[in-house]
Amino acid sequence: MKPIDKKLDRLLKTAAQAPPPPLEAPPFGLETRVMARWRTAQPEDDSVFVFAFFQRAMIAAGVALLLSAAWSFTRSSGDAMADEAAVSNYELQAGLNP
Amino acid sequence: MSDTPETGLDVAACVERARQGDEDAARALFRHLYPLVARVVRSHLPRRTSPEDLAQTVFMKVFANLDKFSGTVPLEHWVSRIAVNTCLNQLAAEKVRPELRWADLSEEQAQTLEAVTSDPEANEPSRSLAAREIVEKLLEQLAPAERLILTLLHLEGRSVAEVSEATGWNVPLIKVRGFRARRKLRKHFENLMGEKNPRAT
Repeated sequence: MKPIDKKLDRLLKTAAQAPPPPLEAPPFGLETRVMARWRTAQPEDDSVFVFAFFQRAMIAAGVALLLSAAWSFTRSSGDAMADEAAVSNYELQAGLNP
Repeated sequence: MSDTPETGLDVAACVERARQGDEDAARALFRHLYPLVARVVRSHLPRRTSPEDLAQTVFMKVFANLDKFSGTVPLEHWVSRIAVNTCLNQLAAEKVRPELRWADLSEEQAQTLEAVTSDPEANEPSRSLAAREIVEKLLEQLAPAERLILTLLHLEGRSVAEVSEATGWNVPLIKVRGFRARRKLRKHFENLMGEKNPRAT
């Protein structure tokens, strides 16, 4: 082994004897930041989607109910007029009107 | 995965709960892994990065990829690899590797270098911190992977097998990289000693 290698070896061995720096508890700021980022990375709670779904379903059902009522109303009005026309027609045909 | 006798933490259960979104479990994992991450970051700290920033980056990667952790290796090994690769990437990004000159050494460092290199029988534990600083300055002149290998092998006294577990590199690769890194380190050391005494070495 060359002299320079021996010197380097001694330097490395001496350096390896240095004690590692004492490890403290994680800095409070670091833990807070890591946990905050962890929270924002979590997927949203499923209940949010379920609530939104039912909300929209209720609105759609309400609209359908209104439309159905409106259609029913207009249909029943039309039927009443048709019935009167039929009665008048019958009376005319039967000579019932004076 | 394993239990940690010192803390009594059931790591496997903690990982599973953290995957389910349990914040207490994630916090417990953070506190359990912090000493390991801090040790890796301090050992391979790039010059222009704070250890806190780098540790934060490591933990974000750990939590972001926790679902991909298969459990075939201990969690500590998996996290160690993430930490090592994060440090390597940051070291590579910095690129600048200033040449170390004798004038850059402090008086204590210069005296330590003289003492350690001049006496073959010298064993100077009292000079170990200064020696460590000199070695770290020399290592800064190497590429990130070379710096890492020599730190693990020579400063931390790890075996090739242990280095393989920590880095994920195979044994032949570690031996080849270690040999080449040592050769480069010797070249820089030779230059430094040549500056001190142009006619020596």
